[in-house]
Amino acid sequence: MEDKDFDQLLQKAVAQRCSMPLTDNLSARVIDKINYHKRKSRLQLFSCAAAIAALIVATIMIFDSRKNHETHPDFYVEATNITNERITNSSTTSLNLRNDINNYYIKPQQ
Amino acid sequence: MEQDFIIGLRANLPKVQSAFVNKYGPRVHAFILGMVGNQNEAEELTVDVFVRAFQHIYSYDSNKATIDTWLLRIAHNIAISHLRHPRLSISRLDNDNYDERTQIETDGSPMIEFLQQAISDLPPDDRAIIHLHYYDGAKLAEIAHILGNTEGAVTVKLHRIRLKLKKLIESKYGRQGF
Repeated sequence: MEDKDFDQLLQKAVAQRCSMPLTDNLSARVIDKINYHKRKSRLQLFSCAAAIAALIVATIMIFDSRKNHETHPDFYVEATNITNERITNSSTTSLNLRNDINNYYIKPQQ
Repeated sequence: MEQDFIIGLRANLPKVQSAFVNKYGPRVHAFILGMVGNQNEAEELTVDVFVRAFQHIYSYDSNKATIDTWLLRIAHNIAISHLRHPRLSISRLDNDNYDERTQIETDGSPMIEFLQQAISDLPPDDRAIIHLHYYDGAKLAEIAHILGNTEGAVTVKLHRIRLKLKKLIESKYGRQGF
């Protein structure tokens, strides 16, 4: 087979492979899809902004509640009671410890 | 003309977008059809090509390539990506015994049918080269740019593909052929 004949045959085969007509509404489909992508990205942007806003509000609320708790008069009363209780407990513990040391280590030597 | 299209597309004008699709759509569609071999899928992918082109119109540089070459390069990337990871399309859902070759119309000549089948069995890049050279009439430099290859590599590849197809047809129909 001559190269020229083969090229013609190949050309014909390739042409038949791609000879299907394109539908008329292609440009409408493209524009629809672009609009769909625009709507989708706008929605994503909106939901992202909403999520950030919710996070900011939640953070502000947490800080605010902490601040209120610390400035509340009961907070200091409660804190003082707890501190006093701890001091008492630690004093008792150290006294007991000293007694124990006296009893077991110091006393026998006397 | 090309510059007017670019300005219009960058301004996001629907009329220009529509005219652009009407002008370049058939060439892009034929190229994708040559690569994927299925009409419905080729149309879906053609739509994707234009959507991507409009989204990235700002990155188009007229000094590097013509608008046709740029579009065909996008089409090539989309077709390759589709062939590597085919998505479930409506055409496949409609037809249980899906076969891409059933979609291609032939003139009934067994030699042409055989050759078309041989082209379908080629790797996607080889099919693209055959299509661009024999159907599109693209120059080797343009084919090289579309495929992201060198002109020399495309020349060698084209020669090898021709030889392979010629050997196939000669082994089937003899040296006299037709």
